[in-house]
Amino acid sequence: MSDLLGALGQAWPRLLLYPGGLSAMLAVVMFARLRGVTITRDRHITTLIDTLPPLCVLTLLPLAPAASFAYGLDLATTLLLLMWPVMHQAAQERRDPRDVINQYLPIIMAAMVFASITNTLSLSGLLRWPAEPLPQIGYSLGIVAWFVGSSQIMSTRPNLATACSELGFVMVGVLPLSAGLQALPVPGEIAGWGIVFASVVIAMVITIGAGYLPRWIRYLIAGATLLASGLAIG
Amino acid sequence: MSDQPQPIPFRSVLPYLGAAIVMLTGIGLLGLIQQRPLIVGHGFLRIDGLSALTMVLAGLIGLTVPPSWRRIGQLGALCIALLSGHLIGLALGSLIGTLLSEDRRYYLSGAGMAAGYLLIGAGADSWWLEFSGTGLNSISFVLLLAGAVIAVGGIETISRRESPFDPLIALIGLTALLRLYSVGPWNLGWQFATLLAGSALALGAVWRAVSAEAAQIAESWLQRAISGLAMVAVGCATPAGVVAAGLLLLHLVVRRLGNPVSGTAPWAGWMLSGAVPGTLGFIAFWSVSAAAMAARIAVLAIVVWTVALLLILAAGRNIAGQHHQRSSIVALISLGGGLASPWLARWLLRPLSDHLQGGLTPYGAIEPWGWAGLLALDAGSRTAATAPGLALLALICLIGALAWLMLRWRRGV
Repeated sequence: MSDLLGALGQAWPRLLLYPGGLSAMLAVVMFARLRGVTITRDRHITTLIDTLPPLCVLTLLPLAPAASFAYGLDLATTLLLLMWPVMHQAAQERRDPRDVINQYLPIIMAAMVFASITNTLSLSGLLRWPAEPLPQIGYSLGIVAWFVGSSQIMSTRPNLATACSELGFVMVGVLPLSAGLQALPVPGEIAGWGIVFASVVIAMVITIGAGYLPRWIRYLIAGATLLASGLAIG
Repeated sequence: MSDQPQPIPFRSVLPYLGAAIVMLTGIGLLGLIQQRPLIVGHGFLRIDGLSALTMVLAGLIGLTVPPSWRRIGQLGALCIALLSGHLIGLALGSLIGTLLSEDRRYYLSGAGMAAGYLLIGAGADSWWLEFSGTGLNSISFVLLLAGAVIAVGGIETISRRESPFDPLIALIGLTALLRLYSVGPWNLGWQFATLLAGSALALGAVWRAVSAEAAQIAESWLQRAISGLAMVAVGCATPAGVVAAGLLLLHLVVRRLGNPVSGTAPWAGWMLSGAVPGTLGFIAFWSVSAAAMAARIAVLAIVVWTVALLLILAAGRNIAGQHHQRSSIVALISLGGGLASPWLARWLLRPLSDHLQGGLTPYGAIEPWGWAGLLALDAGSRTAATAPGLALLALICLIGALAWLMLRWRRGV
């Protein structure tokens, strides 16, 4: 029990400053504004409670240069926490489950690619860039598929909680992308935060760009990526 | 009309009493078999982790089903099957347990399981459970798997008929399948068949659960889907899979005890759904996905997790009605059980995987992660998945407190 308390005690920069706390709140507010959410309107207590699980994911992301946290998340728990606002809304409104599945299937397929190549569900495993060329290609395709999938989960009626969840999905994709950028043969030393910043910009560009693609093309990309990664690791 | 309270008829108390005795006996036996299985009467009685855990689960299920003599008979038959070290006892127990069901379709299930075990005995050098490995072949395995699939709800899933879920029959089916690990190791084809059957069952059932309009029907399908996931966990043929199957069955029982369909507070309903990290449902769903990942079947791990997400959605869609205190209490028990999962893994589930070790492969184990939660390790002792239930819950509370403080401060400003 003392290990757990110690880890929580040492996690205060992560909780208060980066990647959680202040920086997460700022990022969520900025992203929500981009999505057209008026923050003052969304101060309903249910929405605020729904915001907590995705905020928890943002806090626990193993992003550089944050100090490591002993009790990290895995991809399965991350998916659940990030999907919580949508699941809660869908359950309350008794939305057609096919809508939810249609929305999340491409990103789930991309998650399969990540898990297949890294051989772990652990989020920190996403930071391990594969050593062999074929898995590297599969992993790169998986990253693209993840961002394409992220563009499909954008809610048509966004609120603070769904915006936080959408940002969380994009930020999970930033993990393998930053690992990929780190592995590039760039002359000179680039700081960890610089790579994360570049990854976030690239991630946002791909996600916003993919938003203009028809739904069937997104499915095609996700399906083809899954197939290609299967062949790559096979 | 008299205002005096009517005495509860003894006939309806007796089945509950029987169920409580079975459950308490199971708990007592768990204390006895922590180190090694208990063999009594030259092997006629074989009490191991599977027998003790299933007795606890069967007793708890007995408390959730309408009282009847058939149920007492089924519990007795299940106990015979569980405690028998002889294949005939195992076959007879499974057969009688299913023959006592009101639904005739389950007779086929019992016949399949009994035929499977009798065929193993006939082909083996010995009828004793421990020495019958030579009799295990594909025909006996297929018969047993078919019996288990029917017991869990295979016919209903294919036939599109709506009928209530029978948890005791499903428990008999899954236990019969798990007991095969005491006979001997499975080959890859059998594992694949079990994984395929379990996944198909879980996917079919979860789709029916999530698209059902009536809450009772959705609940039946939801419980079938949980049992299907348990079959997937069994098919992993690893200590992690066996532990996951145990956790899923525990979650199933807790959900039945809570009976959220009869009316529940939203917070209790979500806790019983498995959506809240740290609850027993969450840990159970995570463990089966982690077991698949530890066995290096990544696609299955994500498919299983998708089923779990849909199960949570199906459960969430049916949270309604008047608030019942019972579901709130059971939701707190689910939270307690989930947070105590490291302890449950050590005391309740480790004997299960240890005593079935002979038939299992070493590709994956679920270990306590201090007090924070559970950890799944693959064959090379690398981390395959993590579930920091307590740490996550503490962090969510801390972030919630911070957000609340910031809001108060903003209002003050």
